[in-house]
Amino acid sequence: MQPTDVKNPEYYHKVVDCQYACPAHTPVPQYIRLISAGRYTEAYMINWESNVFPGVLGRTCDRPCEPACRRGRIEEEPVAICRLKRVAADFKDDITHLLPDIPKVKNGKKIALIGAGPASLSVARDLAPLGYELHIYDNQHKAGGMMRSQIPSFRLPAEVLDQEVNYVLDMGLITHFNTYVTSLKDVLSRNYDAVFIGTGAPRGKDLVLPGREEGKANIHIGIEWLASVAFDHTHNIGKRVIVLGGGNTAMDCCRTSRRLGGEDVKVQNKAS
Amino acid sequence: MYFEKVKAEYVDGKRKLIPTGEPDVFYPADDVIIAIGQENRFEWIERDLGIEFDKWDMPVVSPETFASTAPKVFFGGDAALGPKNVITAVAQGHQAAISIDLYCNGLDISDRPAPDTKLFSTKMGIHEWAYDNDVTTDNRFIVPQADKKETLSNRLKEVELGFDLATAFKEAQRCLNCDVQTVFDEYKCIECDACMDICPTNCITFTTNEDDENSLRMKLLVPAINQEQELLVSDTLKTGKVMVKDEDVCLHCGLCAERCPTAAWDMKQFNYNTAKAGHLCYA
Repeated sequence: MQPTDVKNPEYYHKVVDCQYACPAHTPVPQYIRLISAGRYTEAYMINWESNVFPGVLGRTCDRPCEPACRRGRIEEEPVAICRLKRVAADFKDDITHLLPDIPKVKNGKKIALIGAGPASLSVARDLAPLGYELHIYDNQHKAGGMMRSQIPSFRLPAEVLDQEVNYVLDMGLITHFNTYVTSLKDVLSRNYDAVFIGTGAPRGKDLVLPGREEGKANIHIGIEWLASVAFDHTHNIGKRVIVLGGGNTAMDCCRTSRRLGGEDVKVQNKAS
Repeated sequence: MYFEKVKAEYVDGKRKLIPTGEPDVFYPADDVIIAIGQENRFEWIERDLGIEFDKWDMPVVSPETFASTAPKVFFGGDAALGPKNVITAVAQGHQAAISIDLYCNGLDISDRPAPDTKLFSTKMGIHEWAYDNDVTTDNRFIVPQADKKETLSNRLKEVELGFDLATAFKEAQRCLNCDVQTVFDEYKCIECDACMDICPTNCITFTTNEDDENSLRMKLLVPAINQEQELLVSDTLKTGKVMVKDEDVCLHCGLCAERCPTAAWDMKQFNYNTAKAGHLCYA
């Protein structure tokens, strides 16, 4: 074999399994060492630079880093990387003075961000310090997207989400909430220098089954139902509930049902 | 609701659900919640704007630049390449921000900025390093939870309480510091095999080279069967052998470097930061 080319940064990057597996390539061991050293604020900022929402992700991330963790190959369980991220978020000091300065004089470029979820907010976080004028649109009254409407509060308290969403909004974003964008052509006609579309996947799949129409008052679409609970429109559910599906949304529906009056909650899933 | 009984069978590695022929099962319910997936919504995007859509009615988006086929329109998150998760949305947002910044400055968006990397020694003394190289044997710690009575009666009450600081420290100590790299300098190596001898996981081998990677993998002290993990192969040494290290189960304990009489091994911290728009850095 040819000698390994260690000058290619991807060689050593790949050795850091967790960081390599992270879509945002968060420098995991670096922040974990800072937690060992009691330097939670610095551990938080390393995360904040890479993943923008450490408090949110430290509770809710799909954590592709953990199945990749070398500890999992040495013994059984990987390092609790995700929950250590939460430690950095829980025990950090006030970080506002560490956030980037936002130029008062803008660079003359105007960007529209459609949808105020994690994707648009990340774009905004990266562009605001460069002097861009950022207009963010969302049909809800607050930013956060699916982090607010679909992740239940018993997994992600609103205060944690608000804090990290506000770090970005407070960078001088111009917000257009309660605004449903109905035409991209219309947006493009308003002389933006670029348009970013971060509108997520907001439509829950339905099932066409006999009786679906007759039973519609008691048949709910998971993500719509979770949003309705999150925005305080739905406060209860029947005693016997069937949840169809086996993903995150199904589990959140099942756990939310138990909290809103469901006593006999069944999850039906074709995966065994 | 009626459910058909099925069993899973694997045909050519694909999972198929076969009805068992048993009678359908009836489960009574007051409410039913359908949580079987989610889809995008693009009816607000006119189809005459130059934004191409594929056969699944998804916009054609570059997985590198997150540009659409129309100038100045970019996508990211679940809207770009289909539903994934928050961390993917964030990662795509960073890339789209880079593209938007390049585009607004009249630069080529396919010319992606390189990551910022650093490699520096953690050596503090003969047997002392700037990281905790001692490998703990603790098992993973469990995150404590609030009392079920309380959490089930209040949907706003957070279930997980998070680690306290003492537990967080112990869990953090389980990290193997994989970013502290075993860096080998063949010009200092005298081939005494001391590192091969001391390595607790036998991941270092001095042997003759092979043309074929698999042959080399199989002749190591412990065969390197995890193909997803790389081999670190040195240049040819004085005896004609090479040093081969299987990265798979290296504990990054630094014993090779502590034992090496000529400091041919060093434990060097490798920092890798993906580029951000405008090359800004916050941490």
